[in-house]
Amino acid sequence: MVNPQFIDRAVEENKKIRNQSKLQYRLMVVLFLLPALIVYGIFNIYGILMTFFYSLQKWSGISAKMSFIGLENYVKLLQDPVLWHSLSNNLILVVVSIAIQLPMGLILALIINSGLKGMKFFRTVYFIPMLVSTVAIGILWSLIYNPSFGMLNAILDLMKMGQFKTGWLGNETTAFAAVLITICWQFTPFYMILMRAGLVGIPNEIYESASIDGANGWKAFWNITLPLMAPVIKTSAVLSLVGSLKYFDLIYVMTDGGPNHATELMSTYMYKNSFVEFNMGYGSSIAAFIFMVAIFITATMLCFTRKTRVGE
Amino acid sequence: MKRFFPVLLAVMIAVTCSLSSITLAKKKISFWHIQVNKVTGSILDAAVKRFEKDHPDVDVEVVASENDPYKTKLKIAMGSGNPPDVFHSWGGGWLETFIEEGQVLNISKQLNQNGWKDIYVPSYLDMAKFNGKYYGVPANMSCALVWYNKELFKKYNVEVPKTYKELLKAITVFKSNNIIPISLGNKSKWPGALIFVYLADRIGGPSAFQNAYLRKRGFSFEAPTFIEAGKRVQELVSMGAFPEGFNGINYDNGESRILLYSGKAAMEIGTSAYLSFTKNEAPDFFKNNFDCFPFPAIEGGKGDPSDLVGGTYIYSVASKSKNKKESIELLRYISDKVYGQEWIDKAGNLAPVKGVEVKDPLLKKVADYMAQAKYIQAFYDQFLPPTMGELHKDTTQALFGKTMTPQEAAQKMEAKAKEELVKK
Repeated sequence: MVNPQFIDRAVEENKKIRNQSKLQYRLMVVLFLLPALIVYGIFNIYGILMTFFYSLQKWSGISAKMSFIGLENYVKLLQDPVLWHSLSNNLILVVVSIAIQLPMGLILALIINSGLKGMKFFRTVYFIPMLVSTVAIGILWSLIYNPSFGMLNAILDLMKMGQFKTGWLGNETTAFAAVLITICWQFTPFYMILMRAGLVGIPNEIYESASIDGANGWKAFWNITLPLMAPVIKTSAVLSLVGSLKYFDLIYVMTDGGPNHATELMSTYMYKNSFVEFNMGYGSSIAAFIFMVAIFITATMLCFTRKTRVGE
Repeated sequence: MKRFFPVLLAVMIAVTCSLSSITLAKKKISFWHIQVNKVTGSILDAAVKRFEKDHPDVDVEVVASENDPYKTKLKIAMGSGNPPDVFHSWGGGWLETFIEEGQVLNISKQLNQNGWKDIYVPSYLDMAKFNGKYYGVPANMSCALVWYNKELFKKYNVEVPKTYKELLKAITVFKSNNIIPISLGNKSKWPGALIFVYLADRIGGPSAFQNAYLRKRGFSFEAPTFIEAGKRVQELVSMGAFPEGFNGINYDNGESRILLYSGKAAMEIGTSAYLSFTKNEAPDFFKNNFDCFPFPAIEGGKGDPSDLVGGTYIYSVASKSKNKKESIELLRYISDKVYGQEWIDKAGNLAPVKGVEVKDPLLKKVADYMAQAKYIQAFYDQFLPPTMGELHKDTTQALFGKTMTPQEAAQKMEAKAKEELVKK
């Protein structure tokens, strides 16, 4: 027979040890997170805070002189037609990215997942744009669009559609569409890989039992694949949205926001003001504006999709 | 990360120095320029080597960057308070911004000693002069001219146009023979701006721009001169003088020049750097049928047809430099006669230093045009404050794209001038 007191003591000691180890465990977690947190704090959080600070100043970016002007930059910003034009370009980019890249990614994922012969080869081919650097893509597509010796106009010539030839990137009406096509081409493979990972995660048994119930092909896709893919699609949409709002590099390489701001995005306009025209204060206010727009849209989208969550 | 590498480098250098038996600490000067081209870069390297030979106690760290990234890089370096000791600029408004912020050293005293000042061509040295003080030395002479394909001119019996009317005639002839009359790569915006600046100069003379810039009574960027220049630009576009989609053609990587080399285009308006480009890119074409002529005169215009649109490189010393004396000394080496001669012989550029000799016949021709010019009109985008310079390039690109009327473009420029230039 064991002394009950002894049992009590054992239980207590056990608790102590557990508490201690809990504390130790927490310390360990914090310790492991610390390096990343410090880097993130210095380069992201501090940067964001400083952006808001600079956006309240009149500052050229090179001088020691900085003068506080309150919300003057923001007043100027709200009256700046180029900024609204870039915002609308950004929103078009968001819509186009989500409406074209995601479905295209899904279709390609279904194709390479279909298990047909030779799919390994196509998987590699489809994935190539993801591996090429943006600058190279920009130069490559600029050459395709080149009015005098570009591939696109040459193809139009071959198809006897010479009347449609134009300087794709130099023409204000076609420049943005041309860049959008390039962006879609660049990012579709990324979503293809994401979607494929989602597809692989759906157990085959579900499809088997569905086919016993007589749901095949389109029906199975509609009732099984899509609902089970919802989390992946949602993640892709958020990635695509945030990426589109702060997109910069390809535009910078291909058109530099031109001609006459036709392809200007908020980030390229911010860059121009901050680093080309010596208006670091105003540029920072544009950066703050991008930040607020991105937060607002992302939050709205997350709220909206939370209500219609399926299968989680 | 950007700050990390210099620190790492410094640590490495410190370690290697302490390991080696060097007890003499060398003074360090950094020199930033934009000569990424192998030939022009090596000429500057040679000048720096000469300097180091004469000053064994100084080490010069040379950094070359591409044109546009350089602008950003220098700005960030100045803003964060550790600028390079010696740096490149184009004179004009861009340099003036730095001068106004007290970032650039006034070197008038040194220039006035022992006749240092007198080795330079005065009109080019003046591009480094602000409020009567000198802030740098000139190291390049460039001007814009019309470059053309001799063979095509001969084939279609076109004379070199001396007047705008003759130019229009030439354009019509080439157009009817399916040749692009004037090649243009206007993605970078400044090639088209050259044409606008020339038209404005030929129509209104030097005073139109100068007085609008100085905000003199009765002068503005909305003056008839600038509206007329805009109209002429659109007239040329309507005639089909330029290649299809020129606003998307990139000058920097040679997309517009290749049209000239391949005989698809007859002319192109470009700076004298065109010479060295062509020499490297199409040596046969350069030898056999490459030539230039000045921008034609406009009938009834006030501008002198000998006037040129041109620019220079200015090398200056940062006021925060820790080794001012040595840095100013380095300026001599990267702009003197020895450098100038190499700059001419090897790179096919021109140097604003007296007593150099030009051997290449075509380059000689360009040099003569410059010597005869009564007035050198600076490129607007380099001369004006940066915001105005950018607007000028944007509005001109829109003029060329016919998405803006000449009146609108002029109004925008004037509105910005009221904001920017009144402060002066």
